[in-house]
Amino acid sequence: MKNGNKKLDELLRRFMDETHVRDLKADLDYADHAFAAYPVPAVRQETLASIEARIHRKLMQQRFLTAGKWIAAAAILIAAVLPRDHFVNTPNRTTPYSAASYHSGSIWTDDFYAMHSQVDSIERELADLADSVRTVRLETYDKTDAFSLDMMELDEIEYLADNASLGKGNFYAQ
Amino acid sequence: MQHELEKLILRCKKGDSQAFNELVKRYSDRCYAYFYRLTGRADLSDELLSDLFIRLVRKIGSFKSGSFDKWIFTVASNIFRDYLRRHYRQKRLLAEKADLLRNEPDGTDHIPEIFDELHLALEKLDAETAELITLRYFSQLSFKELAEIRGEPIGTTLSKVHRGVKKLRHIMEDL
Repeated sequence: MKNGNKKLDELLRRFMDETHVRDLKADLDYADHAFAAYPVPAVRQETLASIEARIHRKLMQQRFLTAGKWIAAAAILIAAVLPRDHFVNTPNRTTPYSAASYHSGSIWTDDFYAMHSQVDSIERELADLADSVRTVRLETYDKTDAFSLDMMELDEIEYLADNASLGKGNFYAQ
Repeated sequence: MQHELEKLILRCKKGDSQAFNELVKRYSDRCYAYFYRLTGRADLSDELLSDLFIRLVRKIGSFKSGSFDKWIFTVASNIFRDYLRRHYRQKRLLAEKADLLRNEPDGTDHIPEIFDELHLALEKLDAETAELITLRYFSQLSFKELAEIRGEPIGTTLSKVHRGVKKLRHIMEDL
């Protein structure tokens, strides 16, 4: 306390002369005695209980909000980290070709002959593949069309026959 | 003591309800006395004290270091100033409707529950000076800290306190 008073004296002397310092200190002492002489009542227990309950509610509210923020942050993080394909992929979707097997770098070399032979081999493979596809398509087409043509022809023949008989008179009636 | 308080504040920052209860017990008397001396009303002081601790729950994270007393009384002082602003705004609105309310009791003008000489003397000072003198007594802060709370040079605070306590003394001696 003495140390505090000493510090106060030093502070006051920086701003005012000795007479004013004494004057102010006397007024401060008077005010302090007045406050001490007229004490105020203590806080009521009900008030303290009510404050504690309010604090508890506020803390619960804050915890709930914090948990909500964490969940939202986690959801945003997951959405940002997972690849978009994960959400748009469907079971029927085919796996795309690996671009690596047709990468230009695997064909294009500075050695013209080596490059030429590789291109030849790929061309041959492609030609074989094209033949195979054509054969399969023709076989499928012929079978299907042969059957459908046969059916059409039979229908047509029957129709012509009917009409022919009608044109020549009532064959069935005979 | 200081170390114990630091540990308590750390627990409060973690949202420990029990720690807040301890903080309430530690500071409620001084803060309540500060509000009660200024308002003169128990119900209003209860309300302001409750607001203070709720604001503390919200803002405890922003307390970094230094004097916690200074920090808590800064919040208390802001709460009282907010109350004064609301009170004066209401009074001004009522003054505009004075003709209508002339014969009706004024619901917002508070009737103090304490009629001691100190309260009467403080009422005669302007609100800012009364608040400063009351804050100085109940917070037990240094002039330097008081000046920091008010955001003004220490010389200004000293001069205001000097004029205020002198006037308070004259008023009380005349009563």
